[in-house]
Amino acid sequence: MDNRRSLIIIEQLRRQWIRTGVAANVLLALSSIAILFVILVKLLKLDAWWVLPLALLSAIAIFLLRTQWKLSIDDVALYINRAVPQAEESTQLLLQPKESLGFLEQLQAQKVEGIVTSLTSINPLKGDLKRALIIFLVALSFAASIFIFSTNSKNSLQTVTEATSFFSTKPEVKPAEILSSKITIIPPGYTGKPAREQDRFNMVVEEHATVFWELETSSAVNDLKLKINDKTWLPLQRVNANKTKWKVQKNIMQPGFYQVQVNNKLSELYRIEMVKDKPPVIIIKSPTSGIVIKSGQPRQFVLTSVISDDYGIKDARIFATIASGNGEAVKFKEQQIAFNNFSYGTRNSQLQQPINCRALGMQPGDELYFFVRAIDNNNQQTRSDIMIVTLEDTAQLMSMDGLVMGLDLKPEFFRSQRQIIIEAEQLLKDRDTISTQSFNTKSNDLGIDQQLLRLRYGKFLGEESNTEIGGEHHDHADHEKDATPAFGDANAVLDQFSHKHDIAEDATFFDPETKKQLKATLNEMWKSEAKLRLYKPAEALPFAYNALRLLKDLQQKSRVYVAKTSSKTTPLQPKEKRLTGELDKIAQPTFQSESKPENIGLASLRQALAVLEEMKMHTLPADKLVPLQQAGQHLVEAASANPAKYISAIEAYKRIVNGRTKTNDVKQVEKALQTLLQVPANVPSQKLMAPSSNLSQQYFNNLKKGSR
Amino acid sequence: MIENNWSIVVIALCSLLLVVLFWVEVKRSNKALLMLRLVATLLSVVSLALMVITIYVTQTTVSKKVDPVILLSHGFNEDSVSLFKKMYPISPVYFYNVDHEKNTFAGALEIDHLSQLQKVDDRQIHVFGEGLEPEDADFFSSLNIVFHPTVLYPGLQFLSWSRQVVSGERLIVQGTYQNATSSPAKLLLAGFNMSLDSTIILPNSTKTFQLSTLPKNTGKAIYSFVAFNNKDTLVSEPLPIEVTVPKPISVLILASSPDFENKFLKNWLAGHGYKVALRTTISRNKYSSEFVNLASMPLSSLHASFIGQFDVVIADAKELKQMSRGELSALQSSIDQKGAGLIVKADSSLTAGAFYNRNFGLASLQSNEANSLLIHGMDTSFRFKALKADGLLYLRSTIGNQPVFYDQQNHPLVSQAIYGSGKILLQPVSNTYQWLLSGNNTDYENFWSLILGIAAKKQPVKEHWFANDVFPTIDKPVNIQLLHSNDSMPVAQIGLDKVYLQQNALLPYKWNGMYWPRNAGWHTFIGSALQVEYWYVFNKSDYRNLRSIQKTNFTLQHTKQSSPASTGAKSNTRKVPISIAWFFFLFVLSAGFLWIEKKFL
Repeated sequence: MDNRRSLIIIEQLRRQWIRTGVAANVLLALSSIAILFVILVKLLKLDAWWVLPLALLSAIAIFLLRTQWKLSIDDVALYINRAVPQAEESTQLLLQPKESLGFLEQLQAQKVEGIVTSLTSINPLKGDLKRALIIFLVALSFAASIFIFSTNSKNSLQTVTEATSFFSTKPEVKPAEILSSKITIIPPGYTGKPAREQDRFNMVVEEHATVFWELETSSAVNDLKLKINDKTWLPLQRVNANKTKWKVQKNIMQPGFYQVQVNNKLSELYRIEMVKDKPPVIIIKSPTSGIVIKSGQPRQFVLTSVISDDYGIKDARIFATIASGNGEAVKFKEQQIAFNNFSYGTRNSQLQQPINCRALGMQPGDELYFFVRAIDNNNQQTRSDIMIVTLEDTAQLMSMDGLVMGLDLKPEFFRSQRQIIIEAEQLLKDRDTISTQSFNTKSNDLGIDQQLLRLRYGKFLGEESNTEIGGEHHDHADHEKDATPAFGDANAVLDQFSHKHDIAEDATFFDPETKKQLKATLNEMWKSEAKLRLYKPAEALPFAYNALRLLKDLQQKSRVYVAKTSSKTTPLQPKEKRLTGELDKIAQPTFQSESKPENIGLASLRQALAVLEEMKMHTLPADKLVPLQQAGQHLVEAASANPAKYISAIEAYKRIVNGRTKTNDVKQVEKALQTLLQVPANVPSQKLMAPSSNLSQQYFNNLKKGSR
Repeated sequence: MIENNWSIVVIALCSLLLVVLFWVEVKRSNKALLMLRLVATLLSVVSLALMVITIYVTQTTVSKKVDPVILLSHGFNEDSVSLFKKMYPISPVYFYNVDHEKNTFAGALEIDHLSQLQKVDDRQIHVFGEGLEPEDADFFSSLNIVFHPTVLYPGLQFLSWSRQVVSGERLIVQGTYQNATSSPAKLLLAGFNMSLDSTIILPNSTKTFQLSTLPKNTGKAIYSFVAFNNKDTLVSEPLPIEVTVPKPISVLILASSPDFENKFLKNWLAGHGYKVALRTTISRNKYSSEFVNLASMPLSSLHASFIGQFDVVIADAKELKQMSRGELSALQSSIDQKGAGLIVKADSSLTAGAFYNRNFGLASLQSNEANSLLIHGMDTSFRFKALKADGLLYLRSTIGNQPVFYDQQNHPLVSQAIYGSGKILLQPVSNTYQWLLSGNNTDYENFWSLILGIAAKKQPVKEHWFANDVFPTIDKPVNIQLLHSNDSMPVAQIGLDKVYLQQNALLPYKWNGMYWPRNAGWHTFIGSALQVEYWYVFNKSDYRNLRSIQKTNFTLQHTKQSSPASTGAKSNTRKVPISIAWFFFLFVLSAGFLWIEKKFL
């Protein structure tokens, strides 16, 4: 009997627990990896390599946080002490060598040993493992569902791309003689991008980029050229005496394609795709155009705009023009305002600039026109729309200018709107010096004046007036006093007994626009009157001003100035020229022209499709390929404009024309032509009549005879 | 049994005779054996009558039980055939038009034609599978055939498309598809390796569908109809199509005053290289004339030979009113006799009762109904963008005209009527040029192309060839038809082969022939004027499903349904005439009795 057995058991337990803990950790790590994978690869579409370091990190983190794998024998013993009461807190005794124990300790150890040896299935980490397993399953099902969902959507995408993937790029094939190639692309300065190197011949470059080709051939070659866009040649210069290293440079101004010619042998086509620099985009968020700053409002506003460009903005500023004065005395003052928070070279910036009208020297009545101009690194500029901000001029409303020309010379025995405003302002000034009683009375008087004015203008809209001003005052009782109507005058009799209200016929005929404005004026007057009657002249003032402004507008509208002309017309000689009714001197014009149908070039493209269709069935003699050759020119043009899309079709086309047709070549060219071609115009066409004989003619004639 | 008047006459005469004879018998003083005599008289007269009138009896003959012949056509079900074969172990089994890659049956003999069936006589022929070919109709109508059709042909049920379209016209493919699978089927119209149109048929449903595209090619091409679900291609069939170049027409426009409508129409037609002459009235008998792609000539007075050059005449109502009597009759005769078309730009000044207004009724809308005009065609194919409604005119649909376009209230807006050999159209819309101004060129083109196409004089052709089969198939006889306007003997050539034709006895311009194409693909008809027309021969594998359905339906129509009870001994009922000898014998007997009774008793 020794405590070796119990030791072994405890050791077994320790190992078991560590295994369980590690298993739980592994499960947790796997679930984190699964989730990371779907998020990164499937949702964010990152490369799968990103998952590796992140997964490692998360695994390490899990193992550092959950340290069951560090479990020692002492820990196990401690746990047994806690979990098994029968162990009587003495499990540690078993861990010590027997010799070092005292007698009692030995006895206790023997007692405990029996208990401990029976403990084979105790595992505090089981629950932990279970939890980890559940987490793992949940994570796995989550990942799987996202995976299935995203692959499903990808499937549908794939079917689409399958249909259009005839233009898809295939791995490029370099000429066998080329040992190595180094293509250096130096993007233009405005992009701020560093030079980059690649060994592929296909390239994507910025507009105005310089491209260096450095080619090394496996053996000496006599001649190395680039054929660009199927028409221009660019010979390479020899670098070393062995004729194995060659180089050339070219500034790329337009997209296209090229071939490498080694010793008179052309390679396949390579694409040069060009990325054009876009002009900056300006969005003005505030203010909106056409705002009016009213009197009393702060004469200041904030201009907020967002400016973005693909490489960087060099300059952004506001161009403001102040228009002051009116008529012939109008003056313009231009000013440039820089944005305070603009920083050079940013791609996307939200700019704000407070603009103080007072600081710009704007007077009431002046107008501010402004726009934002942005220049990008490539000196392309964009202007925003022009915005207009107007300062309201209350003085203008007070001017008498408009009335001087007025035709109505009758003295007005009621106060005008302007008078009401002046008196209301005076009343406000006098407020502190007069008694509340008289203030209220005056305010009320003004209210009455306002009412009278409103009623007067209301007449124009055909409103009935309860107290008419200026006209004769008649009640229904008045009718009786009037002269008795003539006998038989039905209308007069009717008038006598009828009571006429709001007769639209009585209203002056205005166009709807004027009526609308007149109504708005009356509305403002009504509000002003209400405030005045409530002894609040200060609150009435804005309404009164509004009413005045609207009235002025109405007055201006009714005035149209037509300049006098001073030209003299030659006197007519009616007897000689007019009303003779002779037409013999009138010539009958005849025009004759020839026109060719448009898009005659496209006709050959359309025929080429039929030729290709026929090619699918059997080989054709050379003379039938003529439309195909004409189609080739269109294809080359299309490919130089959009190499990525048409380059493979060009290659296929060349193989077809040279009689080295491969499978799918015809299909590829067909597809390219189909994409290139516009839908044909629908034009009227003559229909054919089925052949008929005398029999049908006779039938027709008889039918006609019968119908007559 | 009484079949004609003759029988009635005989019966009437005999009844008369009977009455007379009865009278004589009854009146005879010797009343002995009266009843017997009357019966004998009756019998003799009746048998006399029946000697003249033939009467029939239905006779049921039961033939002895024979083992039927089993004929297996493509698509037969092996299990049901072997089950049947167990019932009749010694029945001979034949293959007929069977694709052996899919179907086999042990011990069956191959035959190429129904005539090779040996010693069938009265024996039943049990046909399994899709059935017999229409060209076998002559043979199997005399045979006793029982048909066991294969029931299921899911997939494409019907497909139709125009084999020839004019460039700029829409190619429309219509059909019915039965999707028996549990996943949706996608139908695709493909051409030149691109999918051009598609639609989806839901699982377990049968739907009609329509796919369409504007062909971009000219000449012959093979588009394709494809059906697939998920990944598997279910159906892929060729759609051979010939796209022809539009044939230009020549147009004469007569205007009472210059306007944008005519100017834009003239420019549009001229832009496509068409011949246009435009005459605009400036003042009384003063005209401004314009000619595009035509030699100029005086237009002050129009005569029949000049109008005859044009396929379409477009004139406004005012101008037609102003035209002299001679000009009008020249116009009338060129429509009536020569088949030209007249498009009348109608307004309220249209002369009532004029020849061009006889079949139409013009009406005007209540002005408050709409201020924009939405024109649409008969179906959904034409829906135009809104125009400003200015005239508010529409046509009443009356007998004799056929609407072409409608407005938003479904009033006919443009209508056509036949006039002699030509057409007259009434068209009250006078601001279609606004489509061009607002960039809706397609609307303008569709509108005027359709109208002008309807109105244009039709070009007569001397010959027209066509294959009379829906799907001419390789190694099957194809019925060739020719419409031929000459009285001469037509010569037919298909590729390098001569085809001999037979004239239709009733319609002398119709000629029929038979051709066995030996290879699939495009074939040519070369007529007598060396004019070439194209037709397409399908492979045996193309439209298998449609042909199976066609064959099954055909066989079903021409044979009895199979009924298990009748498969053994057959009972045959037929009408057999009763021999006159019996009636003669009866007559002799009864007449003899009467004679003997008178003579000896």
